[in-house]
Amino acid sequence: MMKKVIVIGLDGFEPKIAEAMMARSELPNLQNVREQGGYARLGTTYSAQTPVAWSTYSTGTNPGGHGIFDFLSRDPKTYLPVMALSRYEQKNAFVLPKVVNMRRGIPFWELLSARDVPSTILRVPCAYPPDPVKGRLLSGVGVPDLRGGFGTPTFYSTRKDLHADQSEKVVAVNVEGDRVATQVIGPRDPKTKSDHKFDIHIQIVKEENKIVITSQGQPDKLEVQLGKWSKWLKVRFKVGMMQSVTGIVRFNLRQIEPEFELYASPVNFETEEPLFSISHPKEYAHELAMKIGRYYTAGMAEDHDGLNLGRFDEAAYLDQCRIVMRERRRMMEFELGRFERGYFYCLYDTPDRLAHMFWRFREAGHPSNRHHGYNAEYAGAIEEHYRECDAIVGEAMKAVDDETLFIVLSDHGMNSFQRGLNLNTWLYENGFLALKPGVQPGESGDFFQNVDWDKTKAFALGLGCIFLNLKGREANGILNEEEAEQTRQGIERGLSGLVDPERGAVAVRSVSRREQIYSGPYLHEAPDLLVNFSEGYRVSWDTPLGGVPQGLFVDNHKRWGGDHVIDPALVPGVLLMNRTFRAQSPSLVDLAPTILNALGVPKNAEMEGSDLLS
Amino acid sequence: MNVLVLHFPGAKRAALFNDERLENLRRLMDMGCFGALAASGEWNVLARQENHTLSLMEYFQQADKLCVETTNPVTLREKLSVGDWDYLQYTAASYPADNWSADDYLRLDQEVGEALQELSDDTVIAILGADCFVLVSANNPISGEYSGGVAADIAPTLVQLTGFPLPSAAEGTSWVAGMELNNSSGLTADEQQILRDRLSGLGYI
Amino acid sequence: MENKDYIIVVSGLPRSGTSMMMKMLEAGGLPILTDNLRTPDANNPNGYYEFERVKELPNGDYGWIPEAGGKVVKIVTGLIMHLPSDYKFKVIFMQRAMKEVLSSQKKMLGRLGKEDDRVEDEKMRKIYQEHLKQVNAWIAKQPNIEVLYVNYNTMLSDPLESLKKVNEFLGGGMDVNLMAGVVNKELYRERK
Repeated sequence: MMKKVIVIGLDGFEPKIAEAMMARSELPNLQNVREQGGYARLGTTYSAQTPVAWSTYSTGTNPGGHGIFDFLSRDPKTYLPVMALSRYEQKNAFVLPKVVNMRRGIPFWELLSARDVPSTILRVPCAYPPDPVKGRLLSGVGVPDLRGGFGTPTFYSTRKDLHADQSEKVVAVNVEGDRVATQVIGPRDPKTKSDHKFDIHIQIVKEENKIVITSQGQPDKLEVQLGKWSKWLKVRFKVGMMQSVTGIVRFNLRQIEPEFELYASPVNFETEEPLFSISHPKEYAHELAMKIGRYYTAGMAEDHDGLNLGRFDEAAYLDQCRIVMRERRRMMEFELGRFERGYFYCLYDTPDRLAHMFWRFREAGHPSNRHHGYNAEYAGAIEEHYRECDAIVGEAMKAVDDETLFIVLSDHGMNSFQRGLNLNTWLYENGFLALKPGVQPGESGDFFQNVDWDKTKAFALGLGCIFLNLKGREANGILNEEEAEQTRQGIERGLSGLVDPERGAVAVRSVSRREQIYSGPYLHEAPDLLVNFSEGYRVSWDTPLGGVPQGLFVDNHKRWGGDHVIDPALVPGVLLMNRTFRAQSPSLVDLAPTILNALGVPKNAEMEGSDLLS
Repeated sequence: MNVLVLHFPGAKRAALFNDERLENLRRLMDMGCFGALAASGEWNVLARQENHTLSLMEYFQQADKLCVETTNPVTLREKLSVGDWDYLQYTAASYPADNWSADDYLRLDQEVGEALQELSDDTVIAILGADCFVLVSANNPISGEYSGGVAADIAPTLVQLTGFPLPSAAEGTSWVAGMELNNSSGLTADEQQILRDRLSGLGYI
Repeated sequence: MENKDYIIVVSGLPRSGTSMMMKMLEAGGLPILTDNLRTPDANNPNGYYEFERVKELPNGDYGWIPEAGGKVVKIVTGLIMHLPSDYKFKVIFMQRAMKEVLSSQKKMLGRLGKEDDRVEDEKMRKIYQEHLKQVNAWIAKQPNIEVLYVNYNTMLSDPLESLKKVNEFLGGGMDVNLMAGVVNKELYRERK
């Protein structure tokens, strides 16, 4: 039995890169763990996504046991995509809404708590609202920004020809003398449907390449250097005559002249009075901020949108990733410093968010490079970042003693995303999805606008999910069980082995039925079919929100050039432990039993895996 | 449509409206209207007819509505949790008659917060202090601070918000007389924008 | 103690504590009108205290009533408005927090393996509340019916206080301590 289990999570850490680097002795600390115990590729979940995979890690069950199948799901009453991780429930118009976690099942730290074994859990995905735990828990992926989404940044510019993409705000500003008066954009007012705003006054100090932002916030004067990330500004939005909410925002000054351009991060919850609790105990998030300084609280801390939309460049994104890593490392060091027994977990999300954006530089021929340029300087950016991760692992190992089980793992790997499949268009062309009379693909917007539900048998949303339009389940369901079976078979036949004619490559390896890959109490919430893509492919950008664009295959032109939502067999994660373990196909469901057993607590009946150390 | 009246005879406006800790009350103030109430007439008297004063509660009773009047917090809790009432009037008796402490106001806010839990959206809520009011109703066209009201106006205003006709001998003046009551079911329109907001920043989409 | 002038009726929505009240009155020494057709199960470990014949009230079957004086009979809210006007009744009307009634009913349906009727909670709540208002208003207008509302939640938190009122309502003479013994905290597991 162990006194401590320390788990360092490296989101999206890709085994092929890690293995090559270990072979070249570039990851000495990981190599050290490997030599003490072992290394293996770690089986991930259907599908290979952060919320799905970490929920399986937490509960020890397949997604049918915890109910998280994708970032997105659909509302069967409206066919609209909805956030699948949590939802807001409001008993009536007079009380505050409550956040409800859609990850069900029992996370193993509840079993530990019941046996009085303490936990320190930093940034675990899908624990929002935070799970009550003996010890401390800081929520990770799933915590929204102040607008309630995964993160809406704002771009201020004197250019008049800029338009906001769907995941940002663009504010046109005027420079008067050396001054700009504008506002930070806060939460929407559900009544007036306008945005709450917070006034800021910008003074441009041209000769020093900086601006000074003056406001009622904290600090009252904030300096922002050209090309650099500012410190946090605490802002307060009056959301009524009587109520206000606070948040924190940081800036990156892109340009002073000829155009003035300033980027503002999504407004994160502030820890002292967060809109909703993000930690257990509730005060813990703030206690931590008092020790290590303000930190990103949003589940998606890295501003990948800012880079994806070209509001800042790769260098600025790397800077920001470093900030996130640094503050996460401070959290980890502070907590490891007082960690004596039980379970410790700290997740680093950045390896995933960084690799999504820098993968294209590994492949000179990546279609994204034709649009955004190729820079050989970044070809090794992921490796460089992995070395930083290795140093963090080395730091964490300082807390390891003879009675510590030390685990490093990733939830899935990373791969190339060069070509996208318009899954709804494929369904349309093959007679499974119908558009209203006279409407052609490309003329139908997202959110399934113009889909003729009375003639539609199946529709796709999220990252490769297909739902059948079942009678009695979907609002305008048309399929009875027999027709449903025919539809399943038709889609399986048509999609499996689907070839991308332009490249002559197989784009879809197979299609899985939910009954083949899931079991448990939430099976009925799962998508009916899951599409397993080949390397280099993914659903297109238009698919997740229910678009039906023209053509089947499209090049991926976005800077987001790496992805992992493909056949899970192709994107396992990594697993390293400082004890010899069963290297025969370990998978994410095995971690909960392993950790529980190490701490002398029996697993529960729902857990499907087994102790890797026995 | 239900009516819930919570009457705190000892609560004073100056403290009630300026205490930032009173989260529930402040939320209600933002949802509806609030203000000072001059001491003219009685808030629960709807009309005076010859020798008889018609109380708000009697009026609803005559209209076959189930009415409950109580000073007992247990009864209040029971009634709220079961929900078998149309008009529920609670006068808080377990507070000082005057000179409330800061803690008394906090307790008021908690009591209000608990009372809100089981209401249906179409409830008309009136919270009354010694010299002030907060009035919340989905169809209330008045928002923010409302000045110039007197106690006698409360009863006719509540009656109109519930959609009942005013008796001819009504004593006070309904604040919403002649105004268009917003009886449509609030949430509509730009659902898509809200969705986009919710989903933006995901990266994958 | 037994007063044959009136019939004692225990009523309330399903899952609002009617069986518990029956058990209490039995413990208090009152004769119970039941045909023991429905056996105790996990949902009602004390038994159901059903009297099948009350289901015929809407068809005018009052034959059992003359013999029921002084006895206790359980009649659900749906049937109570069919009580005849030429007999005297004392109704103990059980009430319980609506959200608990709903979740308890849901659980029971699930446990008995019946399909959940899919009427959403909110809709159900409205329907039940309107029903209760209607029944309450009807009872209030019946000169031959006296009513005492007993709240299940209050009963559980302070049984003696609630039972004193019950005892008083029925003319006194029952041993409230004995009756309070019935408050079986176990029953309250439903709330969790």
